[in-house]
Amino acid sequence: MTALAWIAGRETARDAAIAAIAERLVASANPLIAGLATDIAGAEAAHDLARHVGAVLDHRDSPTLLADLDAMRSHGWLVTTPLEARAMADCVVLVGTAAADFPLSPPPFAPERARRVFRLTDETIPRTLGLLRATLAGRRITVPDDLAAIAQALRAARYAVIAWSAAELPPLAIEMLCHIIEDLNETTRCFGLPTPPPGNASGVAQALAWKSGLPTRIGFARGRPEHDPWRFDAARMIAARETDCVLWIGDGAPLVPAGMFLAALAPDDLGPGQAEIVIRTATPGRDSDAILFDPMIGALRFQRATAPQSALSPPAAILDAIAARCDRAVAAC
Amino acid sequence: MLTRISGGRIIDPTTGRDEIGDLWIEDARIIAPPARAADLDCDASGTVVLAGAIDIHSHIAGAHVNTARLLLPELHDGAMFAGAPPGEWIGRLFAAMGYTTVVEPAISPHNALQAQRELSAIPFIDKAILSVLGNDDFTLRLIRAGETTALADYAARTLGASGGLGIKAINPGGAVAFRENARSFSLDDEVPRWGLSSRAIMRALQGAVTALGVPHPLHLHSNNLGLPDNVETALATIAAAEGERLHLAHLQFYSYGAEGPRKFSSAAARLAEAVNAAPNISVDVGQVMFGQTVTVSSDILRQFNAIPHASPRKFAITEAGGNDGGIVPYHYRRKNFFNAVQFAAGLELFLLLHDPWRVFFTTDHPNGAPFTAYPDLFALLMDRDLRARWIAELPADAMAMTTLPSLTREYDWREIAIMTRAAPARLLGLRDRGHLAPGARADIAVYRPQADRAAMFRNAEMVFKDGNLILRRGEVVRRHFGRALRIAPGFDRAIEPRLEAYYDQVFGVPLQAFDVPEAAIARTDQPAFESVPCRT
Repeated sequence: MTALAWIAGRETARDAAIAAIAERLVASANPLIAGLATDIAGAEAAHDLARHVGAVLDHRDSPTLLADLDAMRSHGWLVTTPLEARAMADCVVLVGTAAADFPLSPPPFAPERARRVFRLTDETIPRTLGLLRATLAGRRITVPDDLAAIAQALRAARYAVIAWSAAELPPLAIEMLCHIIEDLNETTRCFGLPTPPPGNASGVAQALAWKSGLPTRIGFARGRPEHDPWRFDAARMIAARETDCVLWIGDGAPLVPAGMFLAALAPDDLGPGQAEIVIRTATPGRDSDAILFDPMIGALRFQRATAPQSALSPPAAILDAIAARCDRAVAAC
Repeated sequence: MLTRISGGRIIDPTTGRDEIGDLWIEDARIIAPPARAADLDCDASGTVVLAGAIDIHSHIAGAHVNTARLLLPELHDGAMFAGAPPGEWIGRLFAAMGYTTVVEPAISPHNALQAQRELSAIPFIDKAILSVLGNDDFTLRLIRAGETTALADYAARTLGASGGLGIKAINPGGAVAFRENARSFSLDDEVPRWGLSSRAIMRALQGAVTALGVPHPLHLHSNNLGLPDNVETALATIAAAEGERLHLAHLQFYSYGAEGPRKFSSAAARLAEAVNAAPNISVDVGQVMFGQTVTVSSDILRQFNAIPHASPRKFAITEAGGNDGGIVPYHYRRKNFFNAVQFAAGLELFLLLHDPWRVFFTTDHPNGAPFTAYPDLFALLMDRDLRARWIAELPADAMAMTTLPSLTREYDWREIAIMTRAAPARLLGLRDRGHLAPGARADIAVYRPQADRAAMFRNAEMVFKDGNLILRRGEVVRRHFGRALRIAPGFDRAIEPRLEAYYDQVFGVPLQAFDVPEAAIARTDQPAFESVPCRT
């Protein structure tokens, strides 16, 4: 049988590793539960554990997630879904290099309309978008021909879609795009299509929102959830030694300063020596059934395990077991 | 375990019971008085004992409600935001008021998985969703082709895959018109590209619901929500039903005239008269209460038009072909003429609609007010002196545009019990809920009468769910999880290969990507779903 848990690089019983993590979480003054590249059940369980021990929660891909979220919650946005964009758009503008390509075939909901697809890549995207917005607003400025063509196509389109990835755009560019879309809706239809970050970040943010009301970077130290994108930034907290105990869920465990406790609930690509305690988990969706955000449909989706592995527990089960051990540890003092 | 709730005034309109007496519970059910001693005796003397309340229309889950949470972090800071609380608090606050079943009324087929998963995380209460059809391309294709039977099959397939309890239509055709750049859309406007009217879509879906034997009639969010003079739309919609069963959601938002100096008045009295005369129509009110809230709706056309009124100034609109959502925060103010007319129009409907079996208690949470405002609303319905004190605080010019100041009716306990228990159970087809006869599910709310009626309703003396005492005066006694109620009418499976081909061609994804299998929401301690039988 393959090994499932290690303490200080030595193979150990999984229950012992679970108990040891619980002990450290309970003893910690400011525990951090991060990574969170996991499924919905994992996110829900991580939330419950964090609330229980007063920990901070942060997702690995929070910066991208929050870049889009900040555009929405600071002003507002008009967006669509990948399915609707595919079925309806007669004009698509892909901003940057990361937004996925779009088929040129006519939109199935309006097959008589041709579909035009543009990609806008530029060293100075915020400035370019500023020019685009000014052009669309009818300002008399000189812009490059390709930009003028995009402006003309957006104005003429019946249903345009502007797609981007927050991973590569500065906040100002996303904000500008939201304003361009809003302006266009005064006369026609145009919607944004943000590219979801990897690591099921969108799904985890949804689960944390229905559990706590807040998306990520949540602290429970005061007994109620608080959201602070700066204060509860896992990388910053680790670098500033604001935590003494890190429980990392999913791949990509960080290096931590000497003396800082690190435990990892990791799929099989993590070596046993990379953290003080390692518990190998199922990869949700592959080894175990899971609910994950599916970027193709833009929604949560139930996925049967493609290669079921009953020997490996999903992260949620390990987190629940840790929480149960924390109960006992709390009761003991 | 055998439990006795003893000495309370038991009010059960379904059986006509209204007397001081005992209620016996065993194994999650109410039973006839046995010849044994109780294991647990709960003294209820001096209290009123009702079945657990059932809310037929509160937006408590799904991608759009969750977006409302994400849009407004500043309102979560410190105090929990009642407009979109986390699931834990939804369950706890509803249960504290004596609610044991709540229906989330607007889940589109593409968002069902998330909604069901969210609901499964809400403790204490039973939940259900209504599945939204009427702006989706496939529905319109079937209606245009006159494929009545296939439409019913599609509706049944959607209910089964989503785990829905009924069918809802939201401004049918209006979202399609919106994406084709329409700025307004009414009952007989033609859906661009389709040659269909909203009326035709509504009638077709009514027909499908009836054909399938779904107990809940088509749940309709009509056109022209919130606009001056939209009473004409509401009256025309009632007539359009042609005597067939139809539920009109949040009718308050359609009870406006265009009279007076500000061209905005309450037409609730006229509308109430029409509803009173149409026994096929049921309505829920969608009462407005004052304070900060957030509007959450799939009526994307209406929500888009509401953006200029957002408070705080932000919004989130998702256009998704019948799976749309628009989130716009809003603050209803006592001193605002329009808000005061809205408040009055809702109360007029409550007080002028005669038959408590056909009028349902809602605020369209959170659109008219968060559900946490229910206790104040109950108190207003039961006490005309309290109403008079509220009215005295409102703008006189607004009150002049309503009949509210002249209305003296007070709801009694029996009417409250019908409106919030017996009638919703009947409307939704929940045969073992909403009453207290032997065999009923032991969902029970016990209230202790006091001068402050709102306080009485906010924290029931005792609340039982599935026979367990779960809360006492708002404090949790026992954590408990309910189930999701669904209906699964039979249908001709020939619709599935058709739909699969359609999803592949139009969306490039498998149809099953949106299904909600039991495993997705299963709990280890009990089944996730409870099936409700069809009408026979």
